Amino acid sequence: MNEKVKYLSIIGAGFTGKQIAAHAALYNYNIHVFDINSDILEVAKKYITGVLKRKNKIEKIEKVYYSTNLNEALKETDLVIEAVPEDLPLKKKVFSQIDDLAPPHAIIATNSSSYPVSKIEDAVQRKDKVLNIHFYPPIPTRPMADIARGTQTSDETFEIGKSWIESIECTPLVVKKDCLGFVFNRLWRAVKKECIEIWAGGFADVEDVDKAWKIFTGMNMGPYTLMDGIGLDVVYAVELSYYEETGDPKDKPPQDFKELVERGELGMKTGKGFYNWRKK
Amino acid sequence: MIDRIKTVSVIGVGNLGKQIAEWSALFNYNVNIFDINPVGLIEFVEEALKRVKEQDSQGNIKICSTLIEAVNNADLIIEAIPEKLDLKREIFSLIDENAPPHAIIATNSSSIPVSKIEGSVNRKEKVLNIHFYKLPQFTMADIARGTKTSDNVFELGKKWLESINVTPLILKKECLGFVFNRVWRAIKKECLKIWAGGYADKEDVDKAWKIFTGMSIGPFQFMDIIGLDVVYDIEMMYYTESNDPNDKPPQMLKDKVDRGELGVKTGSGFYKYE
Repeated sequence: MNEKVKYLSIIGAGFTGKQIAAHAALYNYNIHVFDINSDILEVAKKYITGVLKRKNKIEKIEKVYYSTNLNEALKETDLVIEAVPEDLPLKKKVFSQIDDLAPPHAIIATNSSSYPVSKIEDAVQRKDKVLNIHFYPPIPTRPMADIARGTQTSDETFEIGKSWIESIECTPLVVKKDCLGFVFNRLWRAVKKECIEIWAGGFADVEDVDKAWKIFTGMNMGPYTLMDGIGLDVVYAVELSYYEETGDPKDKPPQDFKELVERGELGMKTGKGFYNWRKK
Repeated sequence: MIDRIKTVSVIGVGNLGKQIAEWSALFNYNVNIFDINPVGLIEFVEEALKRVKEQDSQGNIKICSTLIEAVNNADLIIEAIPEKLDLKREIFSLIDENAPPHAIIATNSSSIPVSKIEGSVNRKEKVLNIHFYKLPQFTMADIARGTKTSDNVFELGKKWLESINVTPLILKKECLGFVFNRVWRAIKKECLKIWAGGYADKEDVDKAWKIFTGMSIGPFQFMDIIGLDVVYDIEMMYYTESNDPNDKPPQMLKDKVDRGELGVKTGSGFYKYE
């Protein structure tokens, strides 16, 4: 446990928010979980309680509090992690609300995978106390998080953030300079882009590239299988964000890939993507 | 072992040539090896055959003193000489003249499609790219046709790979990097950009890679093992092919290579080695 951080607030209890809360709960933190939607909060509660039971940490269950009231979730807190949808105006609005309600010493971090906190910091007064802390779920199998400063983040804030990440046994990946994709997503995006081009160009079958990836890394899934799992609509949107950033025609996702998404072949969730997932 | 192939010939016995020879012998093939510079081959064969026998394999490796001797009874010939097109064409032609008419000739080139070599042989329907990655760690090989390679020859090449427990990665259309090296190159290129642009420390990138994949080393450590001179040459090859400024390797990499910081082999590269 980090001495400067005893209370944690997770704002937004969706896919990653609930995972951060469940993981941090294993390490002696008092955690406020907030979501505007009580149904989502209920799902998160079930998930977090389930994780703590499975890990034999039943005593931690009562240290996680759930609320649809932002004021309540921020009354007593040292570190706030915002994990709302990837929508810049929304994030700015939430940051501003957090800034108003949280104690002056609290650090505000965004779990955004694509917005540097420097684009959000204007919404708050405490510009020295903002961070990017971006996780790579599933957190237990990928215990790492990008950490980045805003333009005025203090060294103290940065160190607290880093040591908090370490305190929950995750590896901090330090972003030294703002860039899309931060540390690991940049690399992973390069893999995805190349794979999409190999597929669209008809250079090799997805099965063969996945096999090669598995042999090379020892992982049990290759990039196309992982992309089918993430959802090709999501993969496509991420590709577009890189293209918009660079304007380089080489970053434009191939037409065939766009058509795949438009046909609704989005991967596992629709039964078909790069692979056919329907039971034969 | 497959019926149609009993004797495999490896021409050019560098690191990869040695690996291919030993691996084939391990799966019961008779292997002829030939290199114009036979230094160290006797020791290699002695060691390799010890390991082959330990696995109860009936395979053999025989050092041949001439190329003719190495190919005249071969069913499959794998050329694994340096990456020089002229040299490869010359060797392909010599093999073509001396190998039995039914024999398949494959190149282990990592960058030259066999379509650029096939002009030097008569048996244009019996040529292949069979490009191995490091054995025994990475049991996979790209396989590609020339412009006139027959289906039968392609199938035989595939079956042979499967018979030595190597996964064939089929290249359907010519491209630089074939199948997996393309992906690996994308990883290297991005890592070089992150490093040269000062976006993150190489240590953090390597850590992230290890956490994500479960591998014991990250891309920067990997590049240090391969040799940064080799990494630089490959990047230059892609840059020459595309002419896209975005493909140009960073100046910082060139500076490292110019300073002789080539990785593990010189004691210093991205990391320092004792």
